[in-house]
Amino acid sequence: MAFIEFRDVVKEYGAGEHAIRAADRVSFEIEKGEFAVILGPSGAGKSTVLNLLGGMDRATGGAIRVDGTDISRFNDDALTSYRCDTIGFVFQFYNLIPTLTACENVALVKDIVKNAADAGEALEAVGLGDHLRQFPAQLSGGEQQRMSIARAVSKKPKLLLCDEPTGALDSETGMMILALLQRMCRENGQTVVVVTHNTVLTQIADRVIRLKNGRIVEQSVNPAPMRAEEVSW
Amino acid sequence: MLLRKMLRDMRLHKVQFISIFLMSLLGVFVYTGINAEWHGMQKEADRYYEDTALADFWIVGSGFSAEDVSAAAALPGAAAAQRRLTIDGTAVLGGSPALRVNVLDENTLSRPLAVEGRQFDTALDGVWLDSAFARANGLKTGDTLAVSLGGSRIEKTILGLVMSPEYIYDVKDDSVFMPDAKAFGFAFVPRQALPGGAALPYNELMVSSGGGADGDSVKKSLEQAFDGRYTVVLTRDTQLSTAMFKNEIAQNRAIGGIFPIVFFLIAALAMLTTMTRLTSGQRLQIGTLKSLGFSRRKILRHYVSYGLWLGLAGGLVGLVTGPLAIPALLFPMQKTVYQLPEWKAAVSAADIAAVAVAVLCCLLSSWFACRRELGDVPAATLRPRAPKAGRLSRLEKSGLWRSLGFSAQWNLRDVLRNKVRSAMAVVGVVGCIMLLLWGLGLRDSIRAVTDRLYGELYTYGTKIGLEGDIEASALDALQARYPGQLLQEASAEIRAGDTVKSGNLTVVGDGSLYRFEDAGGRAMSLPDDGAAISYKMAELLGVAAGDTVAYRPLGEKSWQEVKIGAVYRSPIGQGLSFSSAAFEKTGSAMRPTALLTAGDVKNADGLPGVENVQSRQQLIDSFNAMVDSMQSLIAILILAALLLGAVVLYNLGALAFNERTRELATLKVLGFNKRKIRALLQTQNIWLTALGIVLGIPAGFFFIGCMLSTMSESSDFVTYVSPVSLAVSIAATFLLSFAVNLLMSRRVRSIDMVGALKSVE
Repeated sequence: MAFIEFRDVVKEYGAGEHAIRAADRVSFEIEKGEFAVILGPSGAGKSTVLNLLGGMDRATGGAIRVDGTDISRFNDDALTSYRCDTIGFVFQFYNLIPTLTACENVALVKDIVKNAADAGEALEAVGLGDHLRQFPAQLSGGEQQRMSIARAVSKKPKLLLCDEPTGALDSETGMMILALLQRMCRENGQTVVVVTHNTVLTQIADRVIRLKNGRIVEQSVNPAPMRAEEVSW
Repeated sequence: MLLRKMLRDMRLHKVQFISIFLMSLLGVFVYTGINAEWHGMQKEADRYYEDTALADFWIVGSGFSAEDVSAAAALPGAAAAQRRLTIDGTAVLGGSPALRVNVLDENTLSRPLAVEGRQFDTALDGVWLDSAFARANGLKTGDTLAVSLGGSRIEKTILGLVMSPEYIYDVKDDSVFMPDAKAFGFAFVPRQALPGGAALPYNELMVSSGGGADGDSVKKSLEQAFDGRYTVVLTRDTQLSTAMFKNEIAQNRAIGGIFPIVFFLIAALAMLTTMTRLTSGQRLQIGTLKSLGFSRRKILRHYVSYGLWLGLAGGLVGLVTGPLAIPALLFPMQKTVYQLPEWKAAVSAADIAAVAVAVLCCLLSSWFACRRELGDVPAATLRPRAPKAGRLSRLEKSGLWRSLGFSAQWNLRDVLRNKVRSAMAVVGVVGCIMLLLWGLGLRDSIRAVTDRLYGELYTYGTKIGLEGDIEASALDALQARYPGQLLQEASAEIRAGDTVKSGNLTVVGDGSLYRFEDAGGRAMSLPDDGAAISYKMAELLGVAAGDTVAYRPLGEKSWQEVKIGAVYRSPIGQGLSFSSAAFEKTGSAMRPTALLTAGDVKNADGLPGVENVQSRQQLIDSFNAMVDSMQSLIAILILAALLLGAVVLYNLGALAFNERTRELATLKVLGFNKRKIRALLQTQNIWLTALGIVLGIPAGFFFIGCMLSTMSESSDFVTYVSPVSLAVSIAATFLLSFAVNLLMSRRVRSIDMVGALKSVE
């Protein structure tokens, strides 16, 4: 059985005639330790899929199995602890707490996760060892995104979910972020799922899932993924 | 980490949070401060009463025997009894001050408390004198005091200076408003020290119930036991000093109760607006925390803790400072009126409850504010909230709206879309002007009473008090020397149905020095038949002109019925008034107690039949002394008002400014100059201030009325605020509003046009 399984997942917003189907019988699998990319143009339902996978929203129908557990029937409490223990999020706009320093933003998760990684080490690992005491606003976009990755991985999640992690960054910085994510996947066996509209990312992915209008249009395994540093933008 | 986030958030929004802190502080400060004051007074008085075994009942009559004492003590509910002789005399000193002499042969109830010299001892020969009276008249232990008592003169050495639990409020009778220690005092003399002491009668019987017993039933059994042999039975509710002190405490309690409500309301509203702003501004952060796996409860607890800490911090600081500061301010004023052996503030459990209320206000409003943001699923929380559908109100569709112009439209919309914030500003201004009016109006109202009493009602220059047994020839001689008007003032019980009230019985001779006004303030004359009743007494008894009431002068047994011919209104001394002609028609003869005369009177003191002489100026002075004694209370009210107004308006300004920074930046980009933008911001402030003032004025009047109505039953003070006070209150509020806005609009310059327009976060 695959690590992640989507089976005929449906997500509707609104009700009755005006209901909008953001995910329409979506089915796919992702294996443990893979670097997967969910690709699609704006409005294809990428973020919906990611939110469902991350336990931020509940599916209207279908089953979502993560590491053998069906999360689609979870109540709020169960979803909260699922997010807490299983998922690490990385957002396009970093979503850091502006009133906390880099170190504090990462150490924040210690409040909810028992065996969280040390904040300093996590930041060291993303190359921010020199910026522990700085506030998000004092850092560049790439640095902020790295901080957000450090926060996500310090929870030691089973699954790292990234929503357009390079969307707000220039190509060079974006590449550095991707390299970082790829390294975590390769070196630590971290399962990474990235949602993006940027087709370049397919070159470095182990698995590519293409979405359009809420439906899967293609699902493929990349036999020879490139290293992020080698990709030309 | 979240704790640090909270502290940094607070630093970022310091104006709002400081104002919440201040409001919670002020509410608790004032409540616990005033509480500590009256609570302390009550506690000290209770201890004083207990230490000196203050009597619970006073039976005034004549010739009480030793058997009567034991009979009274044996009544069910009575614990102890003691008799004494009380005589009103005059001290032989400058100004012939009145001295009430208590002659004792035992000392078990209402014991005098020595503050200097020897303890009172029935075996010694001497006098124990009222310490305040002694101080005011320059007497000390060891001096010799001469007193004229009913025609005879005695001279005794002062063996000690004392206080008495019966004279915490040290006045002769209820016609006097402010104690004047120079003009009245009391003294204690052992019975065997007086010449012919053994033959002297006893005219008062004191009974103690030893606590516990039901006062009404004891009073009833006393009345039955001594039926026909007493003129009046007083309880602690009707004895002048204890009743007055009780009233004073009730009054302070009332002020202390109303005051903090305003502050707590403001604290709650400020918390609500601030937290709504904060949480909606941190919507994305909430979503982030949720996506990290923080539970709803944990996030809720985080935001609610803002309210908890602020309310708690403010409350605790208030709890510590209030009982220290406010009694220190108010006790000096109370000391000019009341004589207590000790003045100590006392903190009670209710004070801690006030802190809890402050915390609860902040807690609930912050919970209420952030509940909304937490309701959505995390995915939705990560998206910015969809803008409100922004339906145009009917007003906004009308032609009137279009004719309003940009500034008015902009501000009106802002006010309507931010109702809680606007409400907070209005409530703040209401509180501000209300307290200002209260402070100034209280003073005005009492001044108005003085003006009315001595300007319109009592136009005499001098009141010559007559002795009770004045001979007809002496009265004629006096009248010939000082032409004027005769007056009889007595105490009486007045009954309508089952309601019995004690009041005054006034009989007025021919003349125009003692006048009456109806409820509308128009001059009126007393009816030729029947009695006139005072407005407040009519209300207390539930009667009107045309009804019949019964009255019984103190000391008489039978009730007499009389028809009410008219209603008059008087600020002091409620009861029945007769013209001398009407009084004689009822079959009673007028026995004058005072002679009123127009001019100043000198050297009337020693004349036969004259008890005392009071000039109008003395009476006015005693009233003014009462106003002066309120000075510090008024100062507190005004200070609190200004602080409240400033904090709330500044908070409003800061909020409105922060929220509209982007809009203001846009205007700046479009080319609006600073002056225009300032005017725009000023407009809203003026509107809300004006609205607050309009609502606050009636509220202020209402609270003055409340306060005046808690004064004793014998007074009927009408709320009066002079135009000057009203104008000053309004002007001060507006000025405050302008000043705060000026401070705020200085920030317009600092708006960064590029920065404000760039980031959405």
